[in-house]
Amino acid sequence: MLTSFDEKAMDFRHAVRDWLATAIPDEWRSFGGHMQSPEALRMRRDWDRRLYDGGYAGLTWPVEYGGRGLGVVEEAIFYEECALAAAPEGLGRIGRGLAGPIMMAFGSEEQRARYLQPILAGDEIWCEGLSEPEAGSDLASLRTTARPGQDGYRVSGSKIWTSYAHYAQYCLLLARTSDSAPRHHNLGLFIVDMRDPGVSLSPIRQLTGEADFNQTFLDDVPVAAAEVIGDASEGWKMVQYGLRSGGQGPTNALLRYLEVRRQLARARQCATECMSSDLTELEWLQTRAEILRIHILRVIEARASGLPEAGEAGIIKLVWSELEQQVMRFGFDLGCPVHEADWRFAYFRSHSVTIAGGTSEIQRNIISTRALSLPRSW
Amino acid sequence: MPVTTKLLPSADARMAVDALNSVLAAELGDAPLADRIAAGPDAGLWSTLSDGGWHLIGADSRSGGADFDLLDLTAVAELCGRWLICLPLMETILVNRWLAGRSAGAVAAGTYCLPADRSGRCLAPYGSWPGIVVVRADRGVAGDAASRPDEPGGATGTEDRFAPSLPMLTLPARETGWTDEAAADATALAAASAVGAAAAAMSKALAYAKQRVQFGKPIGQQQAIAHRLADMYTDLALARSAVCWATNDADGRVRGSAAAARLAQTVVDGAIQVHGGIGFTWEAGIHFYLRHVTVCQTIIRGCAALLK
Repeated sequence: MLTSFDEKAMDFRHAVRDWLATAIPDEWRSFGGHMQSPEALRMRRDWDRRLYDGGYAGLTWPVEYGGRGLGVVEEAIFYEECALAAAPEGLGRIGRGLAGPIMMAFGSEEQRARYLQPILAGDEIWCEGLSEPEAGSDLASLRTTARPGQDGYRVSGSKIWTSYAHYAQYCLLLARTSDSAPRHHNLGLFIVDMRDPGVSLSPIRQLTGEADFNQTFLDDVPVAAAEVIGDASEGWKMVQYGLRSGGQGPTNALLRYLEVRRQLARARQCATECMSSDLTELEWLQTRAEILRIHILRVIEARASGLPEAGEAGIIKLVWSELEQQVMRFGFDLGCPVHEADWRFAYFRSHSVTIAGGTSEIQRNIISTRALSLPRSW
Repeated sequence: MPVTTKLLPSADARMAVDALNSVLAAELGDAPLADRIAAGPDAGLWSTLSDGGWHLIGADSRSGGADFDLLDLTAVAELCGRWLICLPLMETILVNRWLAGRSAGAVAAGTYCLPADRSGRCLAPYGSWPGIVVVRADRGVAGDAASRPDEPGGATGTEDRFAPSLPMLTLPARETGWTDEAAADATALAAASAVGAAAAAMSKALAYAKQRVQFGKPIGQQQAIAHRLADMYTDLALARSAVCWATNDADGRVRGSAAAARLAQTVVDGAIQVHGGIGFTWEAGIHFYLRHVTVCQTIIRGCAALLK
C-alpha cells in the first residue's frame, strides 16, 4: 500500500481490491504476449467494458454524466490498485481523460448526449490529434487547417504520435481556423471521424523497434458544424483545460513511481545477486523514488483539500521522467550479463519519457515562467 | 503499517506559521543579512518571542503548547530557517516538547547535546546562550544547567561559530540520553530548518535573476539561468517532501532528513551560482544560508548515528 488517506479512502481501496480480484480475467493473468497483439487488444477492449459495468469507468466524472463524482484521492487509489493487481490497460484513456472532460466543460448538449456514454461504456475509442511533425514543443504553431465550407469545415494536414489511432472511431483534433487571428485564438477543436476515407495512418517505428504510435494524415476530411467543440477560435484554451483537469498528473506519476520501484528492485537484485556492485548510487535513486512518492501524495492531498501547495504539482512530470531515465541507465550500466536484454530494452525505451508529454526542457520553461514568474526568453 | 500518513501541516500550524512570520517580518524587516548577523542576536526579538509563548508551541496544550505534531513543527522550523533568526527558538521549542507534563516544567531557553562524534566531540547548538539549559531527552529533566563556559565548573569546550545562525558548543563527553523519538524530532527539525534556509536563498537568487541585467536583459530571461532556477525550485519542493517523509516513518527519519538537507544544499549552491560574482562575497550573505545548511547536516548526522 502506497497511498493511505483516511478511513473512507481505505474502504474505497478495499472495495476496489475486492472487485479487481474477480474482474481481472485469468487469461489476462497468464498472458505473456505483446500489448498490441489481437488477443491483447480484445482483452483490453473487454476491460473498458468491465470498468463500466463495475462502476469504475468515470470515477471523477460528475454523476449527471454517468460518473461517480469522486475526487483525486479515489482516482489515485483506483489506479494504484490496478497497477498492483497488474490489471489490463484499456483503450479508452483519451476519451475518459481528455475528450470527455473537455466536452463536459465546453461541448454542446447534443455532443454530450451523443458521445459521453459510449466513452464511458468503452464502446467508442478516441485518439488525440494535437502534435504535428512541425509542431512539437511549439504546439500552438500547428499547421493542420480547418477551412469553413458548407455546413462545417474541411480539415487537411497531418498529426503525429497519435496513440490508439488504429482502433479509434474518433479523434479530438486541434486545427488552425484562422490565418489572421492572434496566436492561441486561431485554433478550433474538432470531432473527426477516423473512418472517413480522407483519414490515413502510417505507423511510426520507435528506437526500440516497437510501433505504438502513428502519423495520421487528413486529406480534405469533412467535419460538420455540429462536430465543432465550443468556440472555433478557442481550441487552445479547451485543450489546456483538458490536459490540466483530465490529464491525471499525480495519478499518472504514481503509476510511474510503481514502475520505477519495480525496476529499482530488479536493479538491486542484479547489483547484489548477479554482480557485487557498489550500492551508493542505487540507494540514492531509491531515496529519490521514495521522496517522489511522498511528493505525489502531498500534491494529491493538497488538491483534495483545496490548498495552494498543489502548485508544486508542476514539477512532477520533470521529476518522475528524469528519475525513471536515470534508473534505467543505472540498471543498464550495472552490466549484468544475466538480465542484459531486459536492461537494454528498458534503457532504450526510457529515452522517450523525458520527451513525450512535454520535454524536460519545456517543463523547465513552464516552471520558470509559471511558478517562478521569470520573463519568457522565447 | 499506519492507516493515515500525515502529509500536510494542520490548519492551526499554517496559521501559526503565518502569525510567526508576521512577528519576524516586523522585527527583522529587510535589513541586509550580513549587517544583521554582524550586529549579533536580537535580544528584543527574543523577548517578543518568549512573551508570545512561541518557545512552548511544541508542547501539549496543558503545558501551554498548541498540540502540534512533528510535521506541524517542521513548518515552524522551516520558517525559522528561512529567516536565519540567530536565536535558540527551535531548540527551546524542541526541549519544551520533551519536558511537557514533566515535573521540571518548561525552560525559557533550552537545547540538547548530540552524542559524541568520531572525534569525541559532544555538540550542543546554542550551548553558550546565556541561561540555556541542556536537556536530556530520556529523562526530560532540566538538569545539567552548569554547562556554560562562563559558569564555574561549566564546559571548557570551544564554540564553533561557522554558522552564526547555528553556533555549536563543544561539551565534555557525557551520557546524552537520547530516545528514538527525540532523535526523530531533532533530525526532522534540522532538516526543515535547512530547507527554510534554502528557500530563502532561492528567493534571493530569483529576485536577483529578475533584477540583474546583462546583455541588455535580465539574466533570468536566459534559459541557462531560468532552467537552473527551475531545477532549484524542483529540488526545494522535493526537499519539503523529504522532510514530510522524515516525520512519517522510521525509514524516512534517517533517509528523508539526510536527503532534504542534501537537496537544500544543492539549492543554495545554485543560489550562489545564479548570483555570479556577488554570490561569493561576504556582504551578499548567501554564504550564511550555506553555513546554516551544512551545520544542520551535522545535527542530522548526529541523529542518524542514534537511529541506526
